[in-house]
Amino acid sequence: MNEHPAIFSLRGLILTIIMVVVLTLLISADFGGANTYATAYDARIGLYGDKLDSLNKIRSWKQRLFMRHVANVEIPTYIANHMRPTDVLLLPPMAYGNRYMKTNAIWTDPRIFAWMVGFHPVVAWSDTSRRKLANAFVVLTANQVWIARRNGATNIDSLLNEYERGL
Amino acid sequence: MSATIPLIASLSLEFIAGYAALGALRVSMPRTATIPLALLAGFFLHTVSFFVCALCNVPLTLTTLMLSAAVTAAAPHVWWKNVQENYKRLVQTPRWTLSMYDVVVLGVVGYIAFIATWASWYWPVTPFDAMAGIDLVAKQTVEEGTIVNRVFTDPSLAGQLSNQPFYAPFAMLMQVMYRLLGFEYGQVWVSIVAFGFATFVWSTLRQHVHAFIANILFVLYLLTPEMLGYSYLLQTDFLNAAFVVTAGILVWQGAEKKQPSLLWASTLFLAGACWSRSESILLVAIAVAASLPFIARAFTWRTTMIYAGVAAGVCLLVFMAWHVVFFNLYLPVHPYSGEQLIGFDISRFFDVVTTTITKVVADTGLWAGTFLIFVTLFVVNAVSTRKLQPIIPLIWIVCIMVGLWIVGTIFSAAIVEQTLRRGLFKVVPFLFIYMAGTELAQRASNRLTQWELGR
Repeated sequence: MNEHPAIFSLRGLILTIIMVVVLTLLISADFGGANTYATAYDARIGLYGDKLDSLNKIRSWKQRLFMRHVANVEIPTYIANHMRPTDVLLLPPMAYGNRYMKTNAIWTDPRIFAWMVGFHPVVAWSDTSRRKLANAFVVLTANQVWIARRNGATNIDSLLNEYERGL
Repeated sequence: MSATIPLIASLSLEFIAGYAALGALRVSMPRTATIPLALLAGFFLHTVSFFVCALCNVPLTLTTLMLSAAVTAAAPHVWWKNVQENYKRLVQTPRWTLSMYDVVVLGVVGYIAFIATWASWYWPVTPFDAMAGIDLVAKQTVEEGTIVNRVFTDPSLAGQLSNQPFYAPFAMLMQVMYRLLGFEYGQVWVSIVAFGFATFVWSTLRQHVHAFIANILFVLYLLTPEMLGYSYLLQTDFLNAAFVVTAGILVWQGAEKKQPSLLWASTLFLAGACWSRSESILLVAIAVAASLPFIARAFTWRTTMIYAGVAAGVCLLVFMAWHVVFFNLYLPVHPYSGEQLIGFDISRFFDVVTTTITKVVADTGLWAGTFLIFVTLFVVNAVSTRKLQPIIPLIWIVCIMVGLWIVGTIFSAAIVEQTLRRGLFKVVPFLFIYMAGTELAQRASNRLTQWELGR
């Protein structure tokens, strides 16, 4: 468009008012959930806009990581901190993890485990050829996680059966 | 060290690289178009030169990043005569063409851009695909200084990689660069690309319709729920869409304005498309091939065929640099893409088409009113004006849809509700560009202009 009207004009003002109304309706008017522009804006932009100040007070990168990934970072961090040098840890199947988590237990994928806490001697549940190398196993309960080893208090065969049943 | 100074330095060098490359190609467009395009082109060119460093076994460090950016910025200046013309246009005194309603829209968009950029800086990488693939490779590359790192050699990941770490390298290399610059989670560049591209879309819309209509269409585009979400989430699809759509718009504008320079510039973005998602080579091949008769109407068949050859050449070059050269000569392991190829089956194709329409396109939670508004305007325009113009954006919409359906049919890993859903990012901007170019929008635009000018 090559013709440019004056910056300030009555008709320009009318169009500006219409624009403000359109934007307000798009962003704010819920219409009982029918306006998905508003709900999406609220979930993606409005929410962060409202909480910007309080969120910015959390300055630790680790804490932000935890806020986003919660148990998916907490469990691998615990495991990595408690592994012994001789441990080869068997990552349980995701279905086993899902039983104790509100979100998908993506940490059971060795790629996500490595992304969360770096590389450690772990074996994926799906890696059937290397599974027998494992000598350390993750045990989850409703509010606990620990590493079980052979000849310890936990019956490993029962645990592996539980892994299987989770599938 | 603060990331601010390295960020400003690298962004400046990338902008110079892109701006000079567009100048070398003699691209003449408004600054609201060339500035975001320069940034997008600069990102692409810088990732290519950074990748060349990786091919030469140069350790990928901050020094390498800065040196490769400097070389990338310097290289197009070989064509100084062309480049200096572009610089002259950059420093010309700007004409104030904004209206009051533009300022309102820019205020809202500026706020959205601020929050999205903040979110991409504040939050860690979230999508599973990115954590299991591009960002996993990027994190380890920063640690080891090479793309050929433990992700591909560690026994814990042997046989577990799937295809995510092998995705086309643009996003992974950008993650490496931004992590090297000092950003804890990288990914700030995602919103820079998203809003740079949005600026280009805004500029394109304003070139074709009255600013008021352009602003309405632009806001509808920007607020499209799924697009808005991925303007700060690390995935390859949105970035890929930025390259594909930019290329398509340049092809259209090149043919419409009979400017060959825009056609040549489109090859740069076509290459960027193939550098940012592997299946793009199929999609852009279909779209460019279908556009050729319309390009030939604006130019000669000879120019058209040369263009087709150059486009095919650069796309194949970047595609092969990663998928053939790097995979075979550098990486110790390879993706299992061949096993995922399941061949074309017509019943599966119809199933993919039906699922796409019923479960993805019709989902207003993903696209709000975008497809509904498009279909309505398309039908009303076709019935009332008996015109389908602008034809090239329409061709790109159809070709991308068909291309995505083919991909969904022949690749077992391409799931309609995920892969094809995000593949539609390439279609959505074209829908708004098409709407702006329709005869109906043109008539409304003319009437609005006359009314606003008081005639």
